[in-house]
Amino acid sequence: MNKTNDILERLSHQPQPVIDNPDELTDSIMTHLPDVGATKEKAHGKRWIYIASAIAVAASLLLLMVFQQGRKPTEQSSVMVEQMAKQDEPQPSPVEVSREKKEVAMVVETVVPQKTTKKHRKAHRKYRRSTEPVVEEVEPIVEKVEPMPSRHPAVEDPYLIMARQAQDIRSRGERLHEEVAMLMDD
Amino acid sequence: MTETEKHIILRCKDGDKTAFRWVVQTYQRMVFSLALKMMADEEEAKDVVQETFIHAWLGIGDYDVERPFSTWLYTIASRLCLNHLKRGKVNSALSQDEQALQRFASGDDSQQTLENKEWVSIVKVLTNGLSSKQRLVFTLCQLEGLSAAEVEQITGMNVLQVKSNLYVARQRIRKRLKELGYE
Repeated sequence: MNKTNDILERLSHQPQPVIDNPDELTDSIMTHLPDVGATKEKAHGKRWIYIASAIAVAASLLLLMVFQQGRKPTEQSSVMVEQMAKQDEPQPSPVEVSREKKEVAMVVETVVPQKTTKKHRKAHRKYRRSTEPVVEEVEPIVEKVEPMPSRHPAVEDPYLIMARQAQDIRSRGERLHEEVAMLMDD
Repeated sequence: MTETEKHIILRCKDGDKTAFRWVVQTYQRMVFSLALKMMADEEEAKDVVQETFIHAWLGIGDYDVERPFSTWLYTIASRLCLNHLKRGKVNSALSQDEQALQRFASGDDSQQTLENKEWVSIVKVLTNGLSSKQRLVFTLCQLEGLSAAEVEQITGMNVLQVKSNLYVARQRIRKRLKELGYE
């Protein structure tokens, strides 16, 4: 038997296979060839469809972006919303405020500053040394009391109005008291 | 490529069918040879030839005239062969195919020319069990006699891939022939 290499070598030197009827195959190929112009037109048409669809998509995206931009809150509108929210907050009634003021005044009066003696100071120092190894200085917490925001500069404060009314009543009462006293004297 | 050939291909680019007829007549045997060895079926090989030239006609506008035209046609034909092999079932070798190989191997006449049927039988026996890529590289390198550089261009593989596919294909064919009693 021949060796494998010999077989492969002989095969490589073989001439190319022959087509039985080459003219028939050629004619068959030529009749099946499509018209290049038609295919080019088709491709051109397809290209236009792609371009048009791309433009449509871009336009719709642009519209969507414009719509979204219109819905975003502006700086002015956000300030207005904040102001509205402040106005909606419940304000304390003037009666409550006057009561609180009175209570504060009473507390201030009752608290009398006391003089510290040497004994007290020594004891206090001792106590601080034993209890403050970790925290050296403690800053007092100062609560900032913000003034009441005025609703509008044009609108007068209701507390001022009430105070003025109270002043009027008091003066009227004093006047009445004087008149009554005068009548009694007469 | 000669100047005449270049001129004809440029005419084909302009849509000249008469010029393309010349191209078909000149190259159809080359394409048929590859297709017959790859497909191991004469009718399927003719189908591949027809499809190859239709693809060539449609894509000739993109063809670079500076590249060899045969390599370009081989590229189209190779891809079509691989597609056909993927779709269709592979015909396994029969005893009559083995007999055809035996006749060829035992023939003393080195000038003996194989007929298409004999080609089909021998290819069936030799390429049985090879992958489609190994089959393509073996056919182009061994049976069509193309250089590694040309096969690289046609298949899109690099040199190493071409060489390794060819090596594996040869090893498997050697093993197959050993099983059949050769060597």
